[in-house]
Amino acid sequence: MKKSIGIFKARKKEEFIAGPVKQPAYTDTMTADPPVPVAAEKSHARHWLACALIAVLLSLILSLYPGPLYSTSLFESPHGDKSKVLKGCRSCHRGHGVLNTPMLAESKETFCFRCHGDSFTVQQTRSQGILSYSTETADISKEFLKPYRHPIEKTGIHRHDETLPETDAAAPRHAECSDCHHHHYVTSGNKAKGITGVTPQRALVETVQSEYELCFKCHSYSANLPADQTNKAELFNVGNPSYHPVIDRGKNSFVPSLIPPLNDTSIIQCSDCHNNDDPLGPRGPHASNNRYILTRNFSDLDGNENPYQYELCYGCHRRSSILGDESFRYHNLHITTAGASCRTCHNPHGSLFYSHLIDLDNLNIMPSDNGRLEFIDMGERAGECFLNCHNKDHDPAQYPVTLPVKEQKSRK
Amino acid sequence: MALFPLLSPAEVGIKNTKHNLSVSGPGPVSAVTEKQICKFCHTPHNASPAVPLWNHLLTEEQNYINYWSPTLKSYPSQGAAPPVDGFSRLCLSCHDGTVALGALVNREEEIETVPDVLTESIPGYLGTDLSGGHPISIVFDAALANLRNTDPNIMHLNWPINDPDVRLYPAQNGFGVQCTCCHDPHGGKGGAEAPPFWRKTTYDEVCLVCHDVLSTIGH
Repeated sequence: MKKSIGIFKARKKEEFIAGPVKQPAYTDTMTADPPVPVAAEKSHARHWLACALIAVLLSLILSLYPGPLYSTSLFESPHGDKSKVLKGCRSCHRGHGVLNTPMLAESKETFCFRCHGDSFTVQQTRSQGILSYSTETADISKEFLKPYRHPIEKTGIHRHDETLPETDAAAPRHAECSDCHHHHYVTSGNKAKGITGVTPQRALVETVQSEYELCFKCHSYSANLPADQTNKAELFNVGNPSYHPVIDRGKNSFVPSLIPPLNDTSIIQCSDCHNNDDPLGPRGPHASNNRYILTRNFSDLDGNENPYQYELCYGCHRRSSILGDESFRYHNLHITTAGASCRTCHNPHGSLFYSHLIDLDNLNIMPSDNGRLEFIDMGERAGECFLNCHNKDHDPAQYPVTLPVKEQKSRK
Repeated sequence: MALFPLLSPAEVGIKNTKHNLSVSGPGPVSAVTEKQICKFCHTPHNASPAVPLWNHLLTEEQNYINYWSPTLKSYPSQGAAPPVDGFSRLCLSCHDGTVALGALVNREEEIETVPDVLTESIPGYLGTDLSGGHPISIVFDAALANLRNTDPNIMHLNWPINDPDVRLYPAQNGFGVQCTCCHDPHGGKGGAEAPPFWRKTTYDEVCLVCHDVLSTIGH
C-alpha cells in the first residue's frame, strides 16, 4: 500500500518535470518514464498518506505554473545513494586528487569508466569497496571505440557556465561525459537532469525537460557548427511546412505507413534515431557503427532496395506501406525501380520549404529542363514535381494523373 | 592531555603521529639524533611568523599551480587564484618538497633528518602543483556561499560554519579555507578509512561541514 502511493507520487513529479505525456517512442529513449527504482521509493514510501496527497495536489497546482520549476538533490541520484556508491564523497573525490581534476581519484578521461567501463576495471572498483556488487553498470567505454561517436577523446573544455549555444565561431567543439550527464544529479529517469538546455527559441533553461533541449546546446544555433552539420532547431521548427515531430506533433495527419503505437499525433525524440546500434547495449547517442550515430542502418546513397538498406526509416514507416504506394503513389517506382534512397528526396529532420519532409537541396537533383526546381503540394496524395533526375525530366510530373497507378508503374 | 581522559592515547598528542620528526617518531621521516619534537615547527622566542610561534623556514615558492574547475566561484581562472597564505603556507613549507625538513628559524644549521626533504615517493608529499587538491587560501564568507547557492545547477555551501572541529582560518583579508580546516597537524581523530590528521572520524563528515551535499538544488 505504502509502496504504491510512493510510485504514484513519484510518477506525478517525473511527469511534471518531463513535460506533457508523450506517446511511447519506438525504441527506448533517454528520458522515457521508467519503472521507478525500488531503492528510491523506500524513502518516499515512509511519508504519511496525508503528506503524499498534499504533495500530489501541490504538484498538480504547480504544474500549472508556467515557469521552469525543478528541484533535485544528490540524494535522488544513484551517485548519492550509499547503497550503490558505497563510500560517499570518497568514492569519487580525494582531498589531494589527480592534477588538474576537480579532486578526482583519476583523470577525467577515464574517471567515469571506473564504474561505467569494462568488466575488469569495474571489478577493481567493486573490490576497492567503492561500487556495490549488487549494483549493475553498463560498459559505456566500449561504445566509444565505435567509428561514429561523440568525441569524448578530445580533452574536455567544458565550462559550467559556458555560453550555449556557442557564440564564438572559433571555439573548439567538445563533448564530455559531463556535458550531458551531471555527475551529482543524474538519475535513471532523466539522464540529463541538472544539465542546462537550449529551447527552440534559443533560450537557456536550467534543466533539460525535453531531450531535444540537451541536443540543441550544440546542434542548433552554435556559431561553431561544423560545415557539414545543420541547425536542427531550425529544421524541427514547428513553423516549418514539415518536420519530424520532435518538438511538437507533425503537420501531416495522413501518414498511413506509421507502425503502431505511432500515429500522426506522436512525438518522437532524437534518441529514437540516434542511439546505440546494438539493441542490447546501453541506450543513448554515445556511438554507433552506423554513420551519424544512427541506431539502425540507413543508406543515404541510391542503391538496390532491401529491408536493411533503409532499416532506420522502416523502423517506424512500414516498408509494405511505402512500397505499396499507400501514401505517395510513386514510392515504389522511385525506390525499387529507380533505386533512389529516402534521403534523395526527403530530409530526415525537417524541411524549410516543403511538406512531407521534401528536400530538393541535393546534388543529385537537377532543375527541370525549364530551370524549375520545386515541389507543389496539391493535397492528400496529390502534387507536382519540377526537377530532373537521371535525365528524366519532371516538368511537372503530376500525381495523380488520369492513368491508373498500376499502368504508371509498368512504364520505365 | 589531562583534559581528555576519555580519549584513547592514540588520539591525543603528536608523539605517535608522523609529525613527530624526532628520533622517536614513527613516520617515514625522522631525525638522526634530535630528540625534541616541538622545535621542528615551534619556538617560544623570535618565532617567524609570530603566530603560531613558527620555527620552520617558510617556503619561498610563489608559483603554485592552483586548483581549477568549471564550477569554481572563488576565482575566475586558474591564474587568478589568490596566493597561498596563512597556515597553508606553513604546512607547505615542508609538504611542497622545496625546504629541508630540518631547516629552522632559530638554528643556523639544519637538523639532520632522513630523508632531508619530502619527495614524491613519500606519502604526504604534495609538491607545487596543487591543481588536484581542494582550493586553499580562498575566502569563505556569506558572499561566496550566496554566489554558489543562487546557481541552480551546482551543489550548495553551508553558511555559517558552526562546527567544533572544522573551522575557518584567516585567509586573504578574511576567513577561509586552509589546510588546517580539514587537517589537525597535532593529530586527528580519523578512523582507518580517513585521511591522516583528519578532524573528524570519517571522510565525509569533514566535507559535509561546508558542502551541503544533500541540499536540493534548482528551485
